[in-house]
Amino acid sequence: MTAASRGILRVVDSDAAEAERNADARSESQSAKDTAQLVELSKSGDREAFDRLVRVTHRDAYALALRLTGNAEDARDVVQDAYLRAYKGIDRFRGDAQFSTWLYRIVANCSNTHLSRRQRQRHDTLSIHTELIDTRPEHDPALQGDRAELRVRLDEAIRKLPERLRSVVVLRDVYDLPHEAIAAELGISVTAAKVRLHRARRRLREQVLPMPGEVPRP
Amino acid sequence: MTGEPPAAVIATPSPAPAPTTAAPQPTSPMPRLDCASLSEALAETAGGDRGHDPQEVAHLESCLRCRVEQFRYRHLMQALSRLRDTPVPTDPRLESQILVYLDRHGTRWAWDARPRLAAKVAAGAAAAAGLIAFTARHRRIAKLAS
Repeated sequence: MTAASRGILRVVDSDAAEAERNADARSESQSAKDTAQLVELSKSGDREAFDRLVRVTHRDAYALALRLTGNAEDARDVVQDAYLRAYKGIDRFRGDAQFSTWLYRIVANCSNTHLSRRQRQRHDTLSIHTELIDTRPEHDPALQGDRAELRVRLDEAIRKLPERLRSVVVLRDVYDLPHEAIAAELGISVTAAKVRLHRARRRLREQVLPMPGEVPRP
Repeated sequence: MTGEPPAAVIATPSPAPAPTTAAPQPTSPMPRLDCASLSEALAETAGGDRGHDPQEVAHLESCLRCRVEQFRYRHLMQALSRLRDTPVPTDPRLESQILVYLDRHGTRWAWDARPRLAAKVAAGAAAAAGLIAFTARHRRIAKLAS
């Protein structure tokens, strides 16, 4: 292949990528409009519209619940409670933020309540798995593996974080909720939320991308 | 990826087992900042809520280890933000389970879920009853008087 034809192919590729990005943006904007309409209908008492909202949002809500609780059964309970609260309180959704953000806050709050209740009932056994992380200095994960592998390690490390650290890092760094919203839903101060976030990031960095010779904290 | 150090820099091994004290320090007139303090700052600045202060920048410019750590934080943050778009295995029955749960517990239109509406209806009913009683009494008095 000549340099000229490679150049043309690059231009074609970049045009195709641009077109794809535009199509994605249009589809996102359309989906936001659809969601807004469904929310309005739900507010006026249209149960079918709310059911459709559940249909389009439940996978994301469940993914968040699963990341917060680290357990499929708990995540299902949390999502059910969250949708019930959303259904009863949809009148209070003012539309300042996206519906998904509002729903994420409810999921975070339900998860917090659920985990607090569960903690009172049984002991946390997550810490016993911490030793499974490979801490050998000759293994430098930053230089190995691809994105998928990193994602798997990261998911695992998030699951092993203590609940109070896991919630803040998932809500802030994965779901991009503001510090104030996180603090409000978890019932802690903004300062405490930030301190927990920095600790969580540090632990994740140590577990997933350790510095040579660094031993991750349990 | 922005700010990514060259591969040779990433691969550079740690100078000592306890790098917090062994790492080179900036030679500027500013008070010295050790690697442990900068490490805390790296966790804080990784999300972009705040930038580095001049002291931290000076340390980063002179300390290879901390630049590698900064690069790893960036890598971590990018991986975290990608997680949101990563689908998780979902039970295909979940949607119907949520809808059944809503059917069972979703008493949105019941009095307990609509306290303001319930209060308004109760107040309206009380006012109507009072008006009827007052009118009936007034008529009876008028009848007796006539």
